[in-house]
Amino acid sequence: MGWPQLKSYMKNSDTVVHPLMIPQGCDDETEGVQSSERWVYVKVNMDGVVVGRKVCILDQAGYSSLALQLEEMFGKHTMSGLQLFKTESEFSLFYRDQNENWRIVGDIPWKAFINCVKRLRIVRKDHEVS
Amino acid sequence: MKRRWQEKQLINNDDQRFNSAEFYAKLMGTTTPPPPLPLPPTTTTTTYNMACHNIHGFPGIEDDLIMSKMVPQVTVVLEGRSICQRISLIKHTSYQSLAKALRHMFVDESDHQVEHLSDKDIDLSNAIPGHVIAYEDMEDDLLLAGDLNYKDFVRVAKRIRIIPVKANSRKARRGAKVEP
Repeated sequence: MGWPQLKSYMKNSDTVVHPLMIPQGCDDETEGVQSSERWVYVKVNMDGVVVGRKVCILDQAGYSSLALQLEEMFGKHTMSGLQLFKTESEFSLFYRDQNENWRIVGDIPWKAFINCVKRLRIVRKDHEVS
Repeated sequence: MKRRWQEKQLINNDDQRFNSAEFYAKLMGTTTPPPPLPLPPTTTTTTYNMACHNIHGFPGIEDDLIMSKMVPQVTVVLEGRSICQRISLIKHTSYQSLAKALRHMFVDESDHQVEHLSDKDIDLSNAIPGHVIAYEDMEDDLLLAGDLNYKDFVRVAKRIRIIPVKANSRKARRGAKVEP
């Protein structure tokens, strides 16, 4: 798509186009806004909770912001809150990357993370041994 | 005398064959049921396709009847009830509108124990007391309704599931074992 057409698409469409939405270094397609759009929201599941949520990764400023958002969404399912990233937390946060590998959230800088994250999972620490 | 296909409507709103029969009968101005059609799989896409094929031989047939058959519908399941409902997500323009429609479907407002809510106060979180409104998406994941903007939600929602709050979470007490 040429630049003028892309600009008018962006003006007319009510989907927000963010430069970081265009995938870099991620395997799948490189088509354009339409297909990148679905990577903005990632699904989040939590151990012991049947209904998952969707979180908009691009709305978050960084890992702390993400932790707060998840606390709002899932905190009520716990006794003492998620407290993600804190050592005393009962929970760990994992993500699935573009290569279908599950990794610990925080292993790479935020800017790289948002391009690779496909899905999130909140795991109880005492379940990690398998 | 009730015909067999009329009785079917009372039992199962989900019956695709019945909907088509009603459509043809109305068009032909007769009450005799048409020859039975092969029963299609109950997916929203199939409903849409079938309706498209149905209108080809009937030029000039106007909007409402056709549009109501062409608009894809999703099944709404209230956990524990054996009868499902169907709803057209496209006919609503917002989650609030959808929440109101779901409340009217499942909540008996005349019941004293049900807190009365005026229309403007109804949203997804309170529309069906004691329940969460979730949906199954194209990948068969079960997600809470409301996180996406309504337009995107309509595109990905395949079925609506209304689940009791208690069934959603197993709040583990410290040291308690949670089944895998």
